[in-house]
Order: sequence, then C-alpha cells, then structure tokens
Amino acid sequence: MATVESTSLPVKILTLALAGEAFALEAEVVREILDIVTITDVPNAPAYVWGLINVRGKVVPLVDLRVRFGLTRSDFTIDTRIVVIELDLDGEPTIVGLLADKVYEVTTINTESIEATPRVGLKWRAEFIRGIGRRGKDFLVILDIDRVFASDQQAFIGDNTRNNEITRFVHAG
Amino acid sequence: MVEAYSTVLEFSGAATIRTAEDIVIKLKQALAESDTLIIVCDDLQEVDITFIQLIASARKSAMVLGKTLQVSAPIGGELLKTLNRAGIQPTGSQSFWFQERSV
Amino acid sequence: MAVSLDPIATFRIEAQELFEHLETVLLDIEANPDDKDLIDSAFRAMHTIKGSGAMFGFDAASVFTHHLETAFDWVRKGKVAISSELVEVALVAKDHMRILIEHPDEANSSDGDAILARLAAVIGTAPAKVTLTRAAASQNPTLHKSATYRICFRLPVNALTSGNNPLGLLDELRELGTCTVTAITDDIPLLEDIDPFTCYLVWECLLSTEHPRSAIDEVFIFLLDDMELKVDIVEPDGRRLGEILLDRQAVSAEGLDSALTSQNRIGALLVKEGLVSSDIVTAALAEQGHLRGEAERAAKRENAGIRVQAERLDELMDQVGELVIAQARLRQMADAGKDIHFKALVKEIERLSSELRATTMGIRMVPIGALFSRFRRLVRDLSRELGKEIQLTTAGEETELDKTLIERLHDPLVHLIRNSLDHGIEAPAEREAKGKSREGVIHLSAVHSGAQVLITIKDDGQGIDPLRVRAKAEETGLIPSGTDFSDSDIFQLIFQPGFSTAGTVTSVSGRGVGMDVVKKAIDGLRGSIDVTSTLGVGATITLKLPLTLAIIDGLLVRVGKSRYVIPLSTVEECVERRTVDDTISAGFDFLSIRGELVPFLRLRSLFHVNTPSELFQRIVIVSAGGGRVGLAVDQLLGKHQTVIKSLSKLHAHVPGFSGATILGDGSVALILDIPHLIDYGQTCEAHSRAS
Repeated sequence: MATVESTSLPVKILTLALAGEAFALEAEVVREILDIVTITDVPNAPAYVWGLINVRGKVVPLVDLRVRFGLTRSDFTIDTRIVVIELDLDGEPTIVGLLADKVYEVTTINTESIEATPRVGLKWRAEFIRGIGRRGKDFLVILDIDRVFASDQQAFIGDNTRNNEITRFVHAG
Repeated sequence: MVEAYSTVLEFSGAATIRTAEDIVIKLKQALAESDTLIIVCDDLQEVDITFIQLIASARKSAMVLGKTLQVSAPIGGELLKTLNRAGIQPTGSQSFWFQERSV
Repeated sequence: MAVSLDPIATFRIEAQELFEHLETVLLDIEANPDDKDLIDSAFRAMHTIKGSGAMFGFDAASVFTHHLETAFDWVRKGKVAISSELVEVALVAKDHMRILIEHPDEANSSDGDAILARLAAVIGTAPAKVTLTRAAASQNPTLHKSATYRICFRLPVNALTSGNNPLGLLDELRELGTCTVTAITDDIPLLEDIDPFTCYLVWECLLSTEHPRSAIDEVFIFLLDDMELKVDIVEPDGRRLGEILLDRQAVSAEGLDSALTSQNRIGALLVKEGLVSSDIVTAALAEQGHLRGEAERAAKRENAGIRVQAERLDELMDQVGELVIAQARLRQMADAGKDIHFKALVKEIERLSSELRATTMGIRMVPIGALFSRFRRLVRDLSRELGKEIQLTTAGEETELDKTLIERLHDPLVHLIRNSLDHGIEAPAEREAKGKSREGVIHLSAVHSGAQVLITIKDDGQGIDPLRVRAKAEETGLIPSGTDFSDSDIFQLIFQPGFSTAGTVTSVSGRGVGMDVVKKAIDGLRGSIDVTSTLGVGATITLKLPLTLAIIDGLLVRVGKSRYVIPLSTVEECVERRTVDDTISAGFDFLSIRGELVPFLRLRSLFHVNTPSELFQRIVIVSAGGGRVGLAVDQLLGKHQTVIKSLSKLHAHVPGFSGATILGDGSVALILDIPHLIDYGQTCEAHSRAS
C-alpha cells in the first residue's frame, strides 16, 4: 500500500451520497446535474443500466451506481439527482447519467490525503474504487469511473493494476 | 443491272509527305478510270497531314465529277489518330472518313 | 463553435482524395493501358499533388512526385509504354507520396530512393535530379483563372516542308488545357490543282486553359511572322449557333435573319443557302460543344461544395431532432387551442422542419462506391501475393448509406474479401482442373431493401464445406457431436470466436483473427450476416444493415407503461385478440389469421412487464425473414416519424432494439429491431421449453 506519493496536488471533485456514504468523482468529467426526469426502462438490459433519459435531445443511458455496487434499486426522493458525465467508452466519447441519492458539492481534495483502498472491510466492490479520501474526519470513497464502465471481465483485474491506477490518478491531478 | 466500275486503292506502310507525289498520281489515275473509288487504309503505319489533304481533295474532285469516293471503314490505328490530332471532325464535309462501310 | 480552416489540413484532405483518385485511375490504366484519357488523368493528379504540395511546404513530397510525373509525361508522349511493372511502381510511389504528405515525420527517404530507383529501371532512364523551390512552385499555373480562347490560325504555305509539323503544334495547344480542334478543309483544291506539299488546312481551336495568353503565342513562336493567328477570349456561356457564327463574321446578320425565318435547323440551313461552308458550321458546332462542356465543368467545380466536419453534421442532426420535438409540442398546443392562424403557422413550421430534417439526413448519405473502389487495390495486391487471378466486380455503387455506417463497414468488408480471396477462390491451376475459368470473380454489390441495405460479397470459389465446418466445430467443442443442424446454422458457426478451418496460416487472412471480428462489427451496427454456399461453386455472404440515422416511419405502441416504436416498413397489419385465452409462455404462440397460422410473441412477457394486462391485446403482424410474425402489445398509439438515435455501448448487447427516439413529450422510446427481437424470442422460447 505504499504506492501513494507524498507530493500533494489539489484535485477538483464532486461529492455525492450513495446509500448513506459519501463518494467522490473527478469534477472534470461532470457536465451537468439534473433533477429526476422521465426515465425509460430498457427491458433485458444489464441491471445497473436499466434506463434511458433525454438530455438536451440526446438519448443518454442512465447508470444506477447502487446496482453497479451490488445494492438494490431504491425509490427516488426529493434529493435524488442525475449526474451527467462524459467519458470514453472503448474510444468513443459517451455521455452517461449517474443516479445519485444526493449531490453535495464541488470541492478540492489534496492527493496527499488519498489512501489506497483497503483490501478488506469494505462493503463496496473494491475494483471500482480508486482510493479513500479524507476530509477532516469524514471519509470519501473516490470512484474509479473508468472502471465502473469497463466491461465486467476487465473490471476484475488483480490488485497490481489497481495500485498502478492509483499512482496514475495522483500524477494526473 | 450493270455495275459501275469501281477501284479499290489500298495504302499501306507510310502515306506521308515523302510519298505524297506518288499518291497524287495514283489518286488521279484511279479517279479517271472508275466511278467508285474505295480507299483502304487498314495497314497504314504512318500518316501525316499531306495524306489527309490529298484524300479530301480527291473526294472533292469525285463529287464534282459525280463520282463516289469512300474510305473503307472502320478506320483505326494511325489514320484515326492522325485525323483526331488534326482536328478533322466527324461531322461536316469530312464525315466521309468516319462513315460505315456500306456492303 | 470555432471552425478551424487550417489550409494544410484542407490540403491534406484534398490530397487524400487525389490519392484515392490516382489509385483508381492507375488500376484502370492497368486494365486499359491504351486509354490516353486515363493516362492524362493520372498525370494531372500527379501534377496537382506536386504543385500544391510545394505550395503548402511539402517539398519532399513535391520533389518525389515530380519523378513520377515525369515518367507519366513520357508515357503521354509515347516515349514509355505502360506496363504492369510501371503501374505497380506507381502504386507503391503513390503510397509513399501519401506518407510524405500525411505523416512526413514517418517517411523514410531510403524507401523513397528505392522506389525512384525502381521507377528509373522500369522507364529505362533515371529522371534528372530535381530540386524544387517554393518560389517556382508558387508560379504554378493552377493559380491562374481559367479562360477560354478561340484560336484561328493559318500556317505559312511552306509549313509542311519547313519541318513545322502542324500536328505537333496542335498537340502543344492541347497540352495547355481542354482543347477542341476543328480543321477547316474549304481551301483544299481539286486533285488536278493540288500541290501535295502545301498546307491548305486552316484550324480553329477552342482552348480552355489556366495558362496565360502568352503561352499560346509561345506555341507558334517560330512561325509568328509568316502565319495568320487570331486569338480571342470567349465567354463560356451557352450561346446559340447563329450567334457564334455571327460573332465569327462567318455569316451576316441579314443572312442569319432570313435563314431563321424558315424552320429548318440553322446549321444545315446556312450551308444549304450557301451562306457558310459546312466546315465553318462544324467548327461553330464544335465550339458550342466545347463551351457547353466548359460551362458544365465550371458548374461541377461550383457543385464540388464545401467541407464540413462529420461531428458538426451530427450536431446539426441533433439540433434538427430537437427542433422536431419542439415542433411536436407546438402542434399539441395548437391542436388544443382554437386559433386558426396559429394552427396554420404551426402547420407551416411543421412542413419546414420536416423538410429541414430530410435535407439534413440527405447530407449524411454518401454513395457506397467510394468504399468499393478502395477494395480494388486490396484484391489486386492480395491476388498477386497469393498467386491467384481474381477479378473484382461491383454493382450498386450509387447506393447511399449513412457516412458513419460506410466508415464502419470498411474493416469487416476487408476481412470478408480477404477471406474470399484466401480460402474461397482456388489457385488458377486448380480452377482449370475443375473446369472453371482461371480467373476467379469476387462480386461486391449493394442494394436498398426497405429500411435495410444489403451488401453482398459473392465469390465463385470452392464454397464452404459444411461437413468440414461441422467437424471442426465438434472438434473444438463448439457444438456437441451429432446435433441436428441445417447448413445455414452450420455456416453461422464460422463466426464463432476462435473458429478457423484454414489448414495453413497465410499472411493474408491467417493473422489470428477470425470471422468473429466481422460478426462483432456487424452486430455493432445492428446488422446481420447471412451465408449461403454451394460446394465447389462458390459462397455468398450477405450483410443486412439497418440504415442507422435514417428517419423511419414508426408505429408507436404501448407495452405496460413503456412506449416502443415498430418500424412501419415491417408492419403488415394489426389484429385484435382477446387476452383470456392467454397462456403463460415466454416465447411464441400461434394465431390464426384468415386460416393462416401466424406465430406471435408476447412483448409483455419478453419485456418482463407485470402491470395488469388489457382485456384485448393488439397484435401487430410484421414481416421478418420472409415470414410473418405477430407482436402482442397493449395499445396502438399511432404513427410516429422517428429520428433514430443510436444506443450507447452500455446497451449495445441488449437484444431487440435498433436504437431509440425522443417522443413529442420529451421522453425516450426504444425502437424495435424486428429480426433480432424475433431471434431473441426464439431463444427465450428454447430456454423456457428446456426448463
């Protein structure tokens, strides 16, 4: 777990809530945050990507992060938001909506305070996580958004690669 | 029906400024002797402007005399190439070069 | 929304087109070595690449191209004959030129030298070393505006004996541009008066050229003092014959007027009345033809259009899509209200937006011919490499497809063609032994079929042996041995990953990638592959592709709470059916329509809908693969014009949908992909039977 470097770089992140826990993703990929809109079911689709939404005339897949992390779908509340992000899927720039129980804020975190994902004691699927950030006494689960969207075989690559990813993230800041 | 006397005049090899005098003589002779003159150019290897002028002239003379001059078609090879280079159009007075053989 | 107008990038795009053109022309030349027009066309392409290359600073490319241009200039002048070696070197040289322009950093100068050495060997002499300065290149004649000149000249009477071959002079004029030459023979005397050494011919030439006027004088430079030369500028417009003759003072205005009073064709008339000689009319007619050709060429140049980045077209398409949605909402408002003027206005906007959408769609459609022609080189090179004689024939080049689709079809088609070349078509000797012609044929065709386009790759090779495929599949455990499969099912196995029947690995198709790559690519385009084959006679592979991005007319239906679009082109009729006799089945059931048993799929169960069903179900009968299949839905909502939006990679493997669309209320509806949906229904049925 010693791959995290000591150089401190500030990274802009968006913080959000999923099943009562605080998560973060790089603010750079976020395009906009929407209130809940009409969602169209996609029959027989993978459970975590069960819906489609209309974002400014584009048909955009909706990713239910709770389901992706192995939890069940939950009912929408007044706080439920859709975080619209843009990412690269197999070389194709793709716009995706992420379902979040709540969105907090855009803030900055120092890479120094990011720790590698512990191997045990985590209720989240570790392969989707880049590291654990610390803000004061709160913990932030930092998402590896590319992994979340990688096809399933790729998502289960061993620990070595993951550590390299963390290093890359630190440099990228 | 009595058929008019006709001559087939065949040119081969070179029909150029070097052979032009001979060609004039041949053409004059053939035209004097026959009502229909058929020019065959299938084996012409080399042609220049002089030959084109001579045949055009013979054709003109034939028409004045009420006789016929035909070029055996389809023409090709060097002759066709030279006609095209010289800008002899397939319409107008020189169309006889390009007419189908009426057999 | 900044538009980048980098001239170098633009040049590169233009050069790319020139290279594609050059390749096509070179391949044509190989087939028709005597076609002077083709050689000229190749020469012009080289000349343009050289000239504009130097202008944009691609000096290396320009100097290199110069050698090739020189070689083809010699071909034009008859100094060098076209040979297949020359075409081969020219093609390789073209590839090198392309690298020099597209990736100058990657160009290897020793490669270039090797090609030039080969070129020199083929044409006999090494072309002189050339260095090109940019200043010289900027004097490139292409920078001049094109003008059309009428050149009338009479050579000195001794022109033939003084060694000035008029044919050479005319050839020189032709080299300056597009030239129509008419010889006037009126001065040729009768045979008895002729001097065979005198030049009696007079010429009229129409020359459209980018060279300056002085270039014409240069042609006649040694004769100018003794000859008659008249050069006028002509405006390239569609003038009448009479006007041209008047302009040439070949006929007086009165003569023309009196001739015009009769109804005959004017040329014949003027000759008949002895007003002009037939050759002068001929010349005027030639001029008319020339000018018309120039005007068409000019129009073509203007039609050539502008370049637009593909993503900007996508943006435009999205915006038009949004406009259509907004317009649909407007329509709802108008329908609810009573204002007649407002309603009329909405109708007008509706018409405009639908036209705008059609136009926008049209912009994206390009003929598939350009893609087909890219395979000619592939077939040529590969058949040489494999020692086979193969001819590529094509049909349906004009079939229009979405640009994106055409781009994404390239790789799968390369793969299929390679496969035909390598495994399909036999070696010439083997073919002869079988009583076939030595030369094999690969036929590539495209045709629209309803909302789909069919692309066929057909060869007359040995075909696919179903027994061998089955044996291989059983050996690798793809299928259990002894299973009952139809030939067409067996043929589908060749698209399974890791499947290859090739005994030997060749450099052509044995590169470790199988046909599964093709399958994956075509699946990605939501298309399907059909294989038919007759052993010993040949194989045909048909790709069925949807016209993605096309607007389709759809039937909007409801299943549970969701709405779906069924492409109207597949819909045959709709029937009603009481739900009471419904049995719990995930797959097909049968329905009797006018005595015919039609299988039908319950979309409710296929889509796992658990809301209560209606008393009556509507069954939409669609045509699929030659048969009729019913789709049971809850409600028919009416016709809907649909802009297809493709689904993201996240939904690429979801069965049964070809895309999605946005409805008038802004929500998304999925578009059913009928053939895949039926396949999926069959699979579900097989599963439910098994369990």
